[in-house]
Amino acid sequence: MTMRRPRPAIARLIFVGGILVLWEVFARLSHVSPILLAPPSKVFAQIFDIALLRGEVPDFYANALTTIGEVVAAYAITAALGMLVGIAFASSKVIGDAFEPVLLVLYAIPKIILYPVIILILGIGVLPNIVFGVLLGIFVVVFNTTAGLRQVEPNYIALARSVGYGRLAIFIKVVLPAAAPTILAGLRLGFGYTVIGVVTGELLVVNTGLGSLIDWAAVNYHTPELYALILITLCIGVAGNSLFSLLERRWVR
Amino acid sequence: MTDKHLPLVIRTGAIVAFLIVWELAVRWEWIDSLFLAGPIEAMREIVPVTLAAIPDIAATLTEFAAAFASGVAAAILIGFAINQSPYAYKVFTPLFALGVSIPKVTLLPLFLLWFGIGKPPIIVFGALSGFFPMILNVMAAASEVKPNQLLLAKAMGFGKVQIFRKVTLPSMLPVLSSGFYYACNASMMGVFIVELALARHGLGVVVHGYAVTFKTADLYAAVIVTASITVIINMALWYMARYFGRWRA
Amino acid sequence: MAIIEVTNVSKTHDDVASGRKVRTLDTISLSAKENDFLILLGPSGCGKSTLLNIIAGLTPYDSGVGEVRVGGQLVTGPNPKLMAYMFQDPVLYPWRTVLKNVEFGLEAQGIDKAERKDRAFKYLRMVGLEDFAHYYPRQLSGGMAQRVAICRSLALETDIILMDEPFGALDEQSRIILGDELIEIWRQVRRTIVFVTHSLTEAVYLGERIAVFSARPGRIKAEIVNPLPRPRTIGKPEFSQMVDTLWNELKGESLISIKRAKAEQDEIALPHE
Repeated sequence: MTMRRPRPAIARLIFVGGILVLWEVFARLSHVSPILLAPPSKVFAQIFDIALLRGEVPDFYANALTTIGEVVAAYAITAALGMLVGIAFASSKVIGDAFEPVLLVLYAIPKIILYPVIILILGIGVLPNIVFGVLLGIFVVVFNTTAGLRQVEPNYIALARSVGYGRLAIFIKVVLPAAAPTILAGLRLGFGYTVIGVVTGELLVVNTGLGSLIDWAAVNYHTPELYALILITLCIGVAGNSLFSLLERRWVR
Repeated sequence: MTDKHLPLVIRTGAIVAFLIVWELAVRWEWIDSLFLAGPIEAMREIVPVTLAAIPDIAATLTEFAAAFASGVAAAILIGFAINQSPYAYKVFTPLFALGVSIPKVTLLPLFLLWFGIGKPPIIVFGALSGFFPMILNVMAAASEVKPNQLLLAKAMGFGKVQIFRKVTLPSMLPVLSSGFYYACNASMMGVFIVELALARHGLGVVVHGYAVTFKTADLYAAVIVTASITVIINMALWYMARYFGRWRA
Repeated sequence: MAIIEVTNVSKTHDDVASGRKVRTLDTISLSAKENDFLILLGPSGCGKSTLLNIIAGLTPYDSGVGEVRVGGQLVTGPNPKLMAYMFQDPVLYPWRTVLKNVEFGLEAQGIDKAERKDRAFKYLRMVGLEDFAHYYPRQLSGGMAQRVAICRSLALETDIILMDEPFGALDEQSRIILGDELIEIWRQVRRTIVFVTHSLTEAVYLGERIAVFSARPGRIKAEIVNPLPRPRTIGKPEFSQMVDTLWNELKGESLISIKRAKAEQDEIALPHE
């Protein structure tokens, strides 16, 4: 071994950069129609244009805010309700035994086939997107919360009880911190799925948010805009994921 | 009534209560029957809807099978290749984890551009959806293989192929098989998304068709049929994963 | 004639963390005759386990100078017909039952099913575990699991058994009980056992001969014949005297080893990701 390998994070950047270069070269040299493929240089330029409102993309910030608002609302419900249900399952054996099998079966349904039903009941708008986001995100939060709480070392609790803490104090001071790694992992995955749910809703029944912009770019064959908008939307997921990784690294030792 | 059956009673009670509220919501017109059909009405439509949808069920299942198989095969090939190098493992794991959690659905308009309407976008998107959870599980499964267990097999005089068959594979199997379960779930989701958005045949199209024509009872019946089929497949894989993981604590 | 002959063996390896070359074993010469019970005793990190792995053919040694011969043959890789190997952990395969775990090594030699089962049960009976043949490893206690691992080694019916701190993870009582069982089996079946430990008591309790290692790089500091008659009793004056003798050899080396471990702990840089 003569040369030291770069750190994995650097190698990862090089790998992604390499793909971008290949994509650029292929898009410029091949005879693929520019309607099908836009080179990354154009896409990144387009991202700037969109951000500066210089392009043709209509109401970018209003739509982006709609999507972000939907994600925030859906995720607030996903996280709060998911953890609540998880805590209920873990703290009562009867409730857990009664409803966990139901949840397991519901989880096995591809939620997307419920979307037409949701639309029928709730109508078209931001509400069905939020509900669908919750529907996709909540399962992993429930499962991980339950699993995390159940895995807590019984000795931790026994020790806290022996020094005189009450039930609530034990839950806050011992059980939650001990279960935190698993719960946080669930919250991170749940965020990703919530974003997937919201964006899927936006794309399937086109009316609001970044999804509607993506559809606008696609039907009008604004290919660079299409790629740029897709990247921007994907970045919401990436940003959320990075945020959670940061939190996990800080809280979980 | 013993405590053992209490969860079962609660569960059944809750489901029955849900069905009654649903039925009453329609009967007493809390929600317009244009948008909501009662469970009894929906149940009545199940048989005719199923019979009418048989070609679509077949189409969806073959597409799903193709998507699932190719996504899983690609994940296993690439995953095992990456597992050979701990360094590559570190480089690629975050990328694949990201692949699971970003909304790949945004690529659908591109798929439409590239593949047109028909089977190819369904299969490619279904495969892509199953690929990421599967490869994460293939990579996680590798860390289930304990170095000492390999060393022991080597000391016992087993050859490379035998060590793989007798030690590596059994160690990986529980995590691999739960990978199948997650990949199946994701792959199905992918198939139905494309069917709902831009296909001409398949269960997704059937559901979509009833929805846009406000044939509410048929819609609910079709959703119940679709859900049942997918739940059967998914739960079969779930039980398989549990079977292969039975020796674990 | 010596069945195991280690002559001038050294071992150097690249330390991944520091990038330096580290010498773990320095010109070791050692031999064991048939029916020997040889103890390799030394402070942690002295390379005694490495030497065991070298004898087992699991780890290569520095080429050119030294050589390892077992049964007259140069060691180039594992030789399960001649040597059985045992770890500190039982290393049972959790998806196999106790019986299937004991049979594991026999499968490699293509022994047929009936004979595999017979042999497995023979040794399971020896350690009193025949009733647990169809249990899975997770249902066993630590001591039971280690007994199964002993069975698996014995079932190979090799002339040599190499044991790397096999009782290290057990509590004191289990160690003594299993030690007694091992001695009893060793007297019955007469094998050559090479046994790595860092426990002085265990060394004196079990060993016929004791090779005392220095701190890294491992050298043989002393080879001591254990004259105590069997059965031995822990705490008898002559037993304690023997422990003292070993401790005098070992004390300085252990101090070096502990100081070094502490220094390395302080030196550990931030891990890469």
